Amino acid sequence: MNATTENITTTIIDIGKDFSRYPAGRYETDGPFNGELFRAKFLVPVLKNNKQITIELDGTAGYGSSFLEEAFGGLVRLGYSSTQIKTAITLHSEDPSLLEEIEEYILDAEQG
Amino acid sequence: MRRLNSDDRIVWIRLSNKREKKRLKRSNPHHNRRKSKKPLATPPSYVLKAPEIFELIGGKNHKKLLEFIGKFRDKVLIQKKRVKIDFSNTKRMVVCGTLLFFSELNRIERELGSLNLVSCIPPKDETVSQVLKHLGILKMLNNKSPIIPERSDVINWKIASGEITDATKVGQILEAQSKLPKDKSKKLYRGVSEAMTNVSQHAYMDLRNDGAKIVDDKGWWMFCREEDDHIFVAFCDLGVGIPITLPKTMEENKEENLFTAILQKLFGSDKNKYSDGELIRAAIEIKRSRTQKRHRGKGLLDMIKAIETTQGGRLTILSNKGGYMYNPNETKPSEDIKKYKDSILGTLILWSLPLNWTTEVKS
Repeated sequence: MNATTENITTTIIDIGKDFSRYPAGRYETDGPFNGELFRAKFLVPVLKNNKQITIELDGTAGYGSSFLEEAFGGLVRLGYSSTQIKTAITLHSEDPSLLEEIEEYILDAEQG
Repeated sequence: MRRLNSDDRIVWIRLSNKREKKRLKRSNPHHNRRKSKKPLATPPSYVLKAPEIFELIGGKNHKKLLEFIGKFRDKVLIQKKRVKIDFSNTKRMVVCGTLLFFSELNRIERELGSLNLVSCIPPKDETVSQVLKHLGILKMLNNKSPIIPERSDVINWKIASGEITDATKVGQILEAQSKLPKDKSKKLYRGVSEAMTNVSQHAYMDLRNDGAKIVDDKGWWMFCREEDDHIFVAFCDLGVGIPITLPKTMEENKEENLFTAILQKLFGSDKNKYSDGELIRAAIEIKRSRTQKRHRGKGLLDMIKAIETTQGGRLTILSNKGGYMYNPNETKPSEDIKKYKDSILGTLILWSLPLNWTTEVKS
């Protein structure tokens, strides 16, 4: 889905619809809907091509910390800074603790 | 036509006699070949009495159930002997004990290809019969009981199992629980999916200490049971257990110092051997520690998160000979450690949540 505002095109990814309603696991060896795969499929291309994306987080059955940490904290380990990540990726959820948790993973990964 | 000479005639007569003997032998009902078609006598089965209660938290029930499971595994999986399980005295099937037994049955069935060596004497108790039928255990044990599970407290047992971290079925089961609010369902999903990830990454890192030497051991099993006022979710793996995986993963991650410091902080510096329950408690404390590398994930903390804001919620982690119980309370959460005599040879996590959401504990 694309939302256009003043010539800036932002892609909206709904994890529950576009990836899986049942995300789980950290690495590709863990299972089919893991954090590493989500990162490679949806997040890395956005950062590589200097695009912007909005991630809708609420359409799933839930998230384990391994999935979230690998998907978002894993971007830092690939060499992207927290500023680059925050500029490119907007997170949306009705649960503020989920947004805080993801931000914490990104900042913790940056601190090593 | 050539005339037979005397030698030819003798040969011919002998041949004819031989053929006649063979014909008679074939037409004789007591002929050997017929005997061989009779089925071989089945060796008698070893009768194994199932415990009265399938439960794991209480010390006595824990011991009796593990003795039963241990004997069953030894006879069927190791010795390949015929076993008849006698359920006639079984009166209660509790989620955690039933799940461990169910997981063991599945593992043995996968390893042997079938459970043909096992039969059973069905329970006298109607509810237990319905539970065993509903869970498919009677069928696995080659019992064709005509009983139909219809009790509401039986048919609400839901099952998921797998070998990898695919939480699709688990998520569907949790989302289908009519009395479970969405936010609680999401927290339980978090706990179970993280337990599943732990199974993929650590649980089967070594051979299970049961003498079976199964090289490609794997798998997890889950039960969910909604009652009038509580929901129970139990998750089990038959790996080497947290007390074995914890020191190994800490060593692999070069975090031995953190491990030692936390053990000393929790249980004193003069100990050189820690119980399995203490090691489970330490595993949780390590995850709470800010000094641990964050990208390891929160693992066990996700399991606590599932119940930590719910008054009356309870988390129980059993691993090998240890037990850890967490209760969120209004004032301060309580944590208990249990030391059992026998090992469950794996890890079992049980979440219990009340379904009356009147009291929330502040996180």
